[in-house]
Amino acid sequence: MAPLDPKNARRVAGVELNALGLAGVLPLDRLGGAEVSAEATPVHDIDGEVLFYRLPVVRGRERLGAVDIAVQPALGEPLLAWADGLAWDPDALVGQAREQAYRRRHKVEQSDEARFVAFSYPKLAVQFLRDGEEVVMLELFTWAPVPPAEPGDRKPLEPANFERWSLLKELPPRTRKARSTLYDKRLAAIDKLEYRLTAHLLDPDAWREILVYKLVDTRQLRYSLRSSYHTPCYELRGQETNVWCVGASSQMLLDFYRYEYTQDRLAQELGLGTKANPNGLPYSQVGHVVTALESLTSNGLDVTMVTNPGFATFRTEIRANRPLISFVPGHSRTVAGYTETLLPILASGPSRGLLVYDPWPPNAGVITKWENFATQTYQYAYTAKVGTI
Amino acid sequence: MDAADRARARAAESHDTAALAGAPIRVRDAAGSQVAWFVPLVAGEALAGFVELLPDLTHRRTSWFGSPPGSPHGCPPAAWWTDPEVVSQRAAATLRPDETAGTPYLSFDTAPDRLAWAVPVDGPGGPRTIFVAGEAVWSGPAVSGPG
Repeated sequence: MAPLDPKNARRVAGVELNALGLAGVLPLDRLGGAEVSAEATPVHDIDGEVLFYRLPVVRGRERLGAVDIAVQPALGEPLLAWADGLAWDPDALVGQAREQAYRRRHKVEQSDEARFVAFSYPKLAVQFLRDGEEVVMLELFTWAPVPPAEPGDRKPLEPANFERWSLLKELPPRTRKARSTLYDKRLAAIDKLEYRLTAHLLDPDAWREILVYKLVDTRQLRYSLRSSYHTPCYELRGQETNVWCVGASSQMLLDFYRYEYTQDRLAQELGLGTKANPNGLPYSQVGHVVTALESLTSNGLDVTMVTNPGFATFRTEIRANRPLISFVPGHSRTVAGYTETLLPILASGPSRGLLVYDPWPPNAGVITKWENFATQTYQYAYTAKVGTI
Repeated sequence: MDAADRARARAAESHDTAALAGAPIRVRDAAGSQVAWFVPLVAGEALAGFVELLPDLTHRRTSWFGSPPGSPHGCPPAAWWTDPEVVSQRAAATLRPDETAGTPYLSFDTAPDRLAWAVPVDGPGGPRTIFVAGEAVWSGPAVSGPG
């Protein structure tokens, strides 16, 4: 993933702050009508790499605060901090630093560059350079010169009180990798959102649809794919004996396609015995579900058995408005919807879940909304597609 | 806050209806090990649904009786799933001569997804387990495939 440039950092800052506004973390009246400024100040690591951008948040000429957006994935999250009320004015700060340096007789008049450095993250300093070499580095606001690095054998991430050190260098590789994964995931999810050109404008209400609905991708079966005017359309059938879960699951799927069969008839086709003397479907016969369903629909349905289905199998079928039969160890149910949290900030509960129409308990059944996908073992799924007529 | 209180609090995060989270019940396997928490969601006298949590309180599922989900239509009385006395009475009706029933415990038949109360029974024919799930009562060999 390419590192964030100032323009994209501004966009990401807008999304993150709008999301915090929607979540109630930041007060709407505080943010409403404000915007993330385009003046992104790069803040460097001791080694020179840009760690993050600090962007002022303004309303007209009023400076409301500043937001820090990470450039380095090792920082773990794109949004590092929101400093409420911080009037971030980098030019004025460099001016103050220069004045303090003159007073202390540092030769900053010879410098050709001044930049912000997180010399001991998150402590900041202004560093004056000449031909790439440091002239002096003054801690922000105290204007105390930051001493040169001392060779030492201290443990990583345990710096002294006033010491320059590199966050990027001292992060353990495993932490760095884990944080980078989180960062990349979040940035990828933000990239998936349908952006407007004005993402930097803070108007949380205007983002409600994009953030709330797009952060949670969810769908359940309806009468057709025209979901705007068709309500959910799927019905639960309880299994009529303690071992007819496959029969009841088949019944639910067939009902959806308007094939009406009793569980007694389905049991006959699937080899599940009779109501007086029922039996379950042996594992050696799991493939028989395919032939039975195709036979009962005169091949009107094209049925496929998927071994060890992943979440994508369920998502793809539901998006096509098709229910599935799902075998888990010792039991069969049907799946009629899914939900997936794309960004965790506004959501609670499972990040991936299935809407399960479960024929258990006998003669009742339950609708599970939602089943945590991470806690279940999915052995087989049966997809059914209407064949070409 | 004890384990059951924590399970109840965790379950309350997993639904947004007027149903109240009742006293959590431990779900145990035949050996007595806890495999889950069953937290009933009660609406008046009815069992609207339940939240199932793993022993470490990871959410496993939130399930609803009735149609549409959460409505009182088709919901069983809560006592069917929460009162061991009611379970014992149902099991007693299927006892064979000279059999005695032990204390019911919430468990499952063969697979954790097949939640049911288990009632250990002893008698002249040897020990067996009667399962009770709502109105359904049965006893028999373990299911060998999905059932």
